[in-house]
Amino acid sequence: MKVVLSNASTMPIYEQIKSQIRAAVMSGELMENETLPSLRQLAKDLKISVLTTMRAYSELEQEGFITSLQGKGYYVMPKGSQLMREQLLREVERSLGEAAEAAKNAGLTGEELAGMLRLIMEVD
Amino acid sequence: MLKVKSISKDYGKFKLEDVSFHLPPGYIMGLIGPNGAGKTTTLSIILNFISKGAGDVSILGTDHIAGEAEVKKQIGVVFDSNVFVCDWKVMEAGRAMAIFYDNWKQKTFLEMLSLFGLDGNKKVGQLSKGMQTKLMLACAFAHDARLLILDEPTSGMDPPSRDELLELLQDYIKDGNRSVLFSTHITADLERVADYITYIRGGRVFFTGPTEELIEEYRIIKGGREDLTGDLRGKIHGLRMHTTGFEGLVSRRDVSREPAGCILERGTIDEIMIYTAREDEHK
Amino acid sequence: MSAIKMLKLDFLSVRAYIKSYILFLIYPFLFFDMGVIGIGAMCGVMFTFLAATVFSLQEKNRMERLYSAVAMPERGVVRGRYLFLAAHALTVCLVIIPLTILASRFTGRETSPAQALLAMGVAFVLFWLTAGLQAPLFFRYGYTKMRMITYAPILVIMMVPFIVFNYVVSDNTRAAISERASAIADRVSGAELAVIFFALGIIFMLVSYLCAVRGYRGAKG
Repeated sequence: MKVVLSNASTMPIYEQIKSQIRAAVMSGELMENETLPSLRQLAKDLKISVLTTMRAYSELEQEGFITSLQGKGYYVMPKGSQLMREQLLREVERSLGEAAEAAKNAGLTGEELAGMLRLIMEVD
Repeated sequence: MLKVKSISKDYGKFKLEDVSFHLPPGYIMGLIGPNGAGKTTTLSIILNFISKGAGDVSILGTDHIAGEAEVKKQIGVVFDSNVFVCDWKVMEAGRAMAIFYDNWKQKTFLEMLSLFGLDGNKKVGQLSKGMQTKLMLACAFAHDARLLILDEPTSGMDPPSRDELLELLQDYIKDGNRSVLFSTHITADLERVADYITYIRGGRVFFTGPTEELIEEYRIIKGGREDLTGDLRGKIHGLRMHTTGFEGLVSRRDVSREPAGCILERGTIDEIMIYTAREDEHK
Repeated sequence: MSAIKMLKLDFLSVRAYIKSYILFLIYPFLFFDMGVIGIGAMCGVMFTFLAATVFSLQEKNRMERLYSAVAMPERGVVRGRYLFLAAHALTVCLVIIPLTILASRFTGRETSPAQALLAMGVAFVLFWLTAGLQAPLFFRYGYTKMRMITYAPILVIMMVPFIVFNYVVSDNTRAAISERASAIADRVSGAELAVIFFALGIIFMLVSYLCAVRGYRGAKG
């Protein structure tokens, strides 16, 4: 597992950890049931506070990317886990909601917004 | 682990008022604040080195005065300067400490000395500040202290030694049963490793809680002179005007989104301290 | 228990200075000509210098911080320090035995056990008079600030009668005083006087201890 923290980033440290672990799970770099470093080990390795790693892990857990076993540490959830998928969908929905709100403010129609989305998807 | 409840101390000119904070086991807390804000007074009260005017301190559930001897067995203290007789050799400092702890482990002490590269035959008075700190740490480890209290341990240390010390502290709390409380005015060190921050300003607690909360609660605001409205001015702490604009600190509760023409950015603990201290000066 | 620990710490603190104790023992001997009482007086005062070393070290390294950090209650510090002083008082009494023997060899004057006991009494009372004044003041205000002041009384006690006796009063009064003094000395035996001195010394010690407990608490704020 690779986690590289940037001091120059505007993203808080726990977010940086989260997004990197999330990406590793999604790309398959982190396999199902693989153990993650313990909270305190990770904190020490990255020279960050325990609370920061705790926040990153517990949010990842809520989002269904990892799971904790009492006293045994954190494991990677199966990629297709229901919770993870729901979480990802919820995020898409939330972002689309924001986009719809912004479109309304800008006076765009649904059709125009959908066109914009298609354009963005093509660029990506 | 450590509960400090409403402690006060009246020195006439300087008052420590209603200082409370809580440090759970397994974490590091930084006690920050400008010089003379009451950091050392707070630590001295916890150690019953000076008597408190009011309030309660409990360590591992025991009152720090009623159960003083018991409590102190669990504490290791690292002072900001030498507390041993200068002519003592490092080994003699160890022998002096061993007098007071039934559970003193000479083996651990020797291991720590060699880990720290401390020469047992060197005189304590000839050690550098960093080495003196390490000697006191070795003593704390040798009696298996559960709570480590450090007074300004990083001042006067070069960056590599500071880094080394922080790594040691992280290692120390790794098993989740030990805690560290340290006072400092160099906060760059703390920024990342401290789980909790207690910020004392003018004898009062300005903030106590998770480090991230402190950083997230405030934003640095910058903008052009014309962007500074009267309403905004009232919300800015430690406002500084200069030829091309202004800068200051705002609470996110007061200013939640960027006012026109301004930018908001996350500040460091240092910056939060600088702006709030500037506010005190201008009062 | 904590007083014993503090006593150990104090002895460890002055360990490097034990060498100078021997020097301080030779010094009073230079006054052997003053008789056993003179030796006793010198020893008693000399030992307060030695005993004060620990206060000087305490101040220099701000060791109160150490005392409060280690597992030792406040009262242990003061009690331990008085045990340390008492050990000095005891040592001074023991040291007087060989010193008086040596002195009588040198001078050829016979020294009775009663006289030796009197010398001990003098040393004991002067030690506690000085150290007893020093300890509470050192605890409360620190060594450097108080060092000179605490020797003032002993200087007065030792110097004033000497100056008055030798330079101020007329020859007639001097003779009268000598006569009166030897008359008292005839009536009260050396041993009796020694007992009185020991008792006085113990009273000084106890009063001083009570003051020191308050002084140390006061210094800590």
